[in-house]
Amino acid sequence: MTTDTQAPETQAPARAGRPSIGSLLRSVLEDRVALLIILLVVMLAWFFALSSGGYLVAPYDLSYLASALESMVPLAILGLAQLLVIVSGRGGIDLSVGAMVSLVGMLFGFAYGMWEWPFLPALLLALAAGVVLGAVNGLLVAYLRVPALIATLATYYAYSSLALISNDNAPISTRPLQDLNSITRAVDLGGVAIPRQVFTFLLPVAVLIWLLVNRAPYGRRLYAVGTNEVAARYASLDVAWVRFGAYTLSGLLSAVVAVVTAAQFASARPDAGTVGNGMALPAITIAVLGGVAIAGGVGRVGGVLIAALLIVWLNAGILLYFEGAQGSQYQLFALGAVLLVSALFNALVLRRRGGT
Amino acid sequence: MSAIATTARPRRVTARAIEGQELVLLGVLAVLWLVLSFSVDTFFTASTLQNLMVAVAPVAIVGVGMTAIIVTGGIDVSVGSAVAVAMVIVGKLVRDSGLELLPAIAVAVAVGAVLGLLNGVLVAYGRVHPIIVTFATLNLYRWLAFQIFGGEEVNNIPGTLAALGGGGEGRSLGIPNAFLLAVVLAALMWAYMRYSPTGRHLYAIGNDAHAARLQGVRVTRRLVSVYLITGVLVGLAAVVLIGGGGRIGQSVGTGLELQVIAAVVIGGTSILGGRGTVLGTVLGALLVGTVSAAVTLLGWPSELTALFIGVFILVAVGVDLLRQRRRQAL
Amino acid sequence: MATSPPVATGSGNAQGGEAVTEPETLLRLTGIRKRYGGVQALRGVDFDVRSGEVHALVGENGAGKSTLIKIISGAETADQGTVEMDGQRLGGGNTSAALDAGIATVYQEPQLFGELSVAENIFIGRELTKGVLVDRATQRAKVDELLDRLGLDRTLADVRVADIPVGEQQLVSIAKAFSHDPKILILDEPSAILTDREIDTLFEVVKGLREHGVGIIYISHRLDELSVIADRVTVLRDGEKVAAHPMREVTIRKIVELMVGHVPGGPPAGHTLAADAEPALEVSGLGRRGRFQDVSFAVRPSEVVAVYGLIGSGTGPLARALYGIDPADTGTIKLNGEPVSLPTPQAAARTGIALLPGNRKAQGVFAIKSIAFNISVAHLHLLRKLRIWVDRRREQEVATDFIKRIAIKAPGPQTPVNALSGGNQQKVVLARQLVERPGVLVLEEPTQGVDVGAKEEIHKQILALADQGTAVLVVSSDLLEVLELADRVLVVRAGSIVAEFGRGASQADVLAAAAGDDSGEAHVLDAARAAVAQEVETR
Repeated sequence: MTTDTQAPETQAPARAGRPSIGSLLRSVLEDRVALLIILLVVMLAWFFALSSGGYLVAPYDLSYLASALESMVPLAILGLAQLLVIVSGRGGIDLSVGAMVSLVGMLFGFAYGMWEWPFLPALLLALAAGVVLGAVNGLLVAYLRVPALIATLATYYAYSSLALISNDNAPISTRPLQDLNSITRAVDLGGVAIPRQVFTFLLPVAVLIWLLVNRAPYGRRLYAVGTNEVAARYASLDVAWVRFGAYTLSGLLSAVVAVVTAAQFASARPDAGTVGNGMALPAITIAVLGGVAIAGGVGRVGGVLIAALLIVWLNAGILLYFEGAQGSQYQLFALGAVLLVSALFNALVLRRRGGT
Repeated sequence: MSAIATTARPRRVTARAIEGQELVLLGVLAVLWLVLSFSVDTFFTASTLQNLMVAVAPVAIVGVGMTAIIVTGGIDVSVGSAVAVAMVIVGKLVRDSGLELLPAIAVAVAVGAVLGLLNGVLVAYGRVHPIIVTFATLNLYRWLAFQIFGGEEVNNIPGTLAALGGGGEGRSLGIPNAFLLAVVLAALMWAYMRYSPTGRHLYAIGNDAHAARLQGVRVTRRLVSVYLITGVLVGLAAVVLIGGGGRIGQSVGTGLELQVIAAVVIGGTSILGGRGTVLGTVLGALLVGTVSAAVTLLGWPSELTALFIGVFILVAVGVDLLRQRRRQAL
Repeated sequence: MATSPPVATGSGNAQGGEAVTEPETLLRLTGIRKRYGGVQALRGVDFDVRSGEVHALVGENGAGKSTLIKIISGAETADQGTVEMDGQRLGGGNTSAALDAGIATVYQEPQLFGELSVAENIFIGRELTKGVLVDRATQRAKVDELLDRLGLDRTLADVRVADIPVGEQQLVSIAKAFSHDPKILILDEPSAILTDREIDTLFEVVKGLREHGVGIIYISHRLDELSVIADRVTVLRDGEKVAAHPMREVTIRKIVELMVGHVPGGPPAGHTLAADAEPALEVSGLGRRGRFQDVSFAVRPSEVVAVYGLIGSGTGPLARALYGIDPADTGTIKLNGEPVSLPTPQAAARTGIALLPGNRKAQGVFAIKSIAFNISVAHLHLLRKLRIWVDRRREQEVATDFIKRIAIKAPGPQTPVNALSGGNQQKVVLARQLVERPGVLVLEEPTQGVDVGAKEEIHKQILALADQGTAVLVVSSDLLEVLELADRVLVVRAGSIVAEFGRGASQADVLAAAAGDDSGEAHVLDAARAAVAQEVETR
């Protein structure tokens, strides 16, 4: 094109002074966190209504919700891991988180459950292993420029098979691990039993990630790289290093989930993160529902956390509504439907905002 | 007007039947088979090879469609769930309503087509990234399969579909029909993507969908069609998997998509779109199948298969990236 | 002043006399007015193209050329005025209608599909079929015929586009446009990415098209080429047509004068130059294979040096080498006397070099992020509290300060940058470079696509920065800007510095130097360039 095609653009039209229902609605729709909170409240109200109407197998009350938080912890943390890699851009995604959970879980099981290491060293070993596994992904995606989908697919294969081989496909359920279950026992808060790991694992991780993303220089760089990789380069950011960091952090977070899961189930299982469809899929669903844009550069910690709550409590409600195995099956339906609707919605919002 | 010589660079004739990557793959496969036939007595026997071909067939069949999808820059991870839906429907009909072979195939294809069409419409019109769409339908279709299973696996399926199964009736001249079917389908897709205008458009879409649209390529139509075709192929794969009869477990098809994608990527198709052939996919599927068979025959833990597949994927992608970079330096 | 001798045109038809019959007018634009992006891009322009003529369209950046072309090709609609093709009115806003009417466009970047062959690219979207399959034989025959007519090598037809060099791809683009049997062919800066030999081929092709009666609109900054290939030239300036002449009736210098208008009023308030200061930036023997070679120059603190060259002359790569984006292969760079190595942008930033990128949309802005984010992103290490915290209050202060200082028209520092006009976006990217006053600031096309007000503001900032001691290097293809800002102008042609001018140089001199040839290769353009050089000497 001739060089004068960069025509000076006009400013965006100023909004009308008086706030109307329409503009209020629009701003809610565009603020993902607000929207999710509303959906959450609506859903809870719906299930509470069903419960009091006697339609559910068991009461959908605060205690039930609190106990459901047990499955929220690993999913929320993995959702945050997906937030980091997807925000980093260039088709970022991490399909290997479940496999990393399995593999690190087994390693932790060996260290803590078989070689009788004290808890802290075993934990540190697990975290270090997570860093290494995530770094492999980071090396492939950030430095070797392998598309993330393929790189993490390959490591998914590799890590999950290593996890299975490590103990001949058998879980480690020795005494120390069974005792470890105590760190996931419930804490009584005003009559409601909340799983301990919400406070010992989820909250600290969520706070740290929030600080990293919103307050630390790294977070800025991450979003810059995901928004416009070329401009980030011109702004003297080390694009490869920033991306590498995102995948490494994803490995670290997977390691945290590995330890929590081992404690929760009182054993280190070789398919902890890969059983069924694996943990990667719900984690990605939570991220997308939470407003993380597949193109990169957009996503909020708050959105991911509320999305996790939404999914987990929705699943919990479904279990009570349907009998027997039907419940877990309908959870699949819910997961798929929620992902689809939220993705379609994301696409709509992005188009209206003027993105491609 | 006299022709003006432009450059003295050596010419490369486009669209050769076999590109570089496939030759390498063929070589690797040959070497692998050679090594195996020496280390394991039972490898180069008729039954092992036949089993291999039967196992590879469904992956190759779906892989034919997946190649086209990936060439356009998309992906479909719902094929495993879709195959389960098709299998449970056809299995039950064959068992309970005595459906014959040809109608069974028709039903399977129809079911697969509907599931594929949904994917295609969502990707093409919803403007949602294919990974997200098919992640969602992976779940939805699995739920659907469970509903149709009704809580129990499907047993006692008669051998109506044995012509495409793994047993004696399913062979022609010693080669499993299922594998022959895969080869025929691959040949058809190869011809389509090489000689048909709309087939060539797939590559254009993978290169630059926006520019393609501007130049008269019916992008939406093509996108819907590749997912639809893959759905049809899923139906055929379902028939092959039911094969000699027996039982269909509720978790059937889980993980199929990963095997298929592995076969396509190892076969040289670029995940970034715009490049790839079905020949590579078939070879990739054979490679994946061979690795799996080898691991079993050598008495290694079966989990190692996944490890090797992961390594092969990385090697294939690495080689592909190297070739890209070298070409850009021209 | 004596009249200069007419420049040889080399055009096949004109034999110094009038043509026997008046060629028909194919395309006629009357009274075109267009407001584009808040600016009146075209103010009542008339333009026509005849059959069998090469009509050059020239003008500075922002003069309205590309807007006019977009209206002709159907990509845009005129606010007022008519476009008539073969006597039929064209509605505008519809590229297929324009194509059907016989108007084909070839853009500067070839828009081809790398994985498909040349023949497939030419016929994409309208393949010839035999039943359901591509009729390869017939297509091949047509492509052969096409390539023959354009004088290109037949064996190209089956080659994959990704395997042929970019210059040939451009020729393929032209072949593709020609395959639509156009009556009007628009060539937008066709020679920008071509080597000299490829330009020769291009000219042969264009001449062949002309003989076929095609009307060609040829847009180019390379005025020396126009004297070889063009029959008529229309000059646009600030959205108006200031002149239209047969090529043989004008000289290069006349065209330049028409393009730039009057010399801008008065040199800016002179800024002080520390006379014997050590150069802040010293470059010697710098080269990057295929882009530029043996470049040496120095910039002193407070000095503004401009690097001027036409598109493709190597100025962009030179700027990028100074910032570590595409590092040089050979030569040395010294900063304040110390040799430095610049393999990455981080290295450059560390040594105190800043770069304003040439393409703000692709290389400069983080569109959905706020002004504050965009400014602070390169300086996070400065805004740290306790090393791990971004000091957001300080960040907002810095952004607000800049908004005031360089008059960025925005509600506040939190405004997303994509809500701003082009000029204001450019100011934001400029602000990013000014957070820490850099020792050396390299600016690539600093006011491209920027409205006049913002342009002045940005120039003011650049000069103020120089006054504060920064060594400024402006890499620009905007001749007026270069002459306005620079203490010294270095002219680059084909990757080497061919001339240097001080303040007060004439536009014609600089332009002539940029278009002049010093390679010595026997060349179609030599005659024209020699004439231009002679013209300069007889000044």
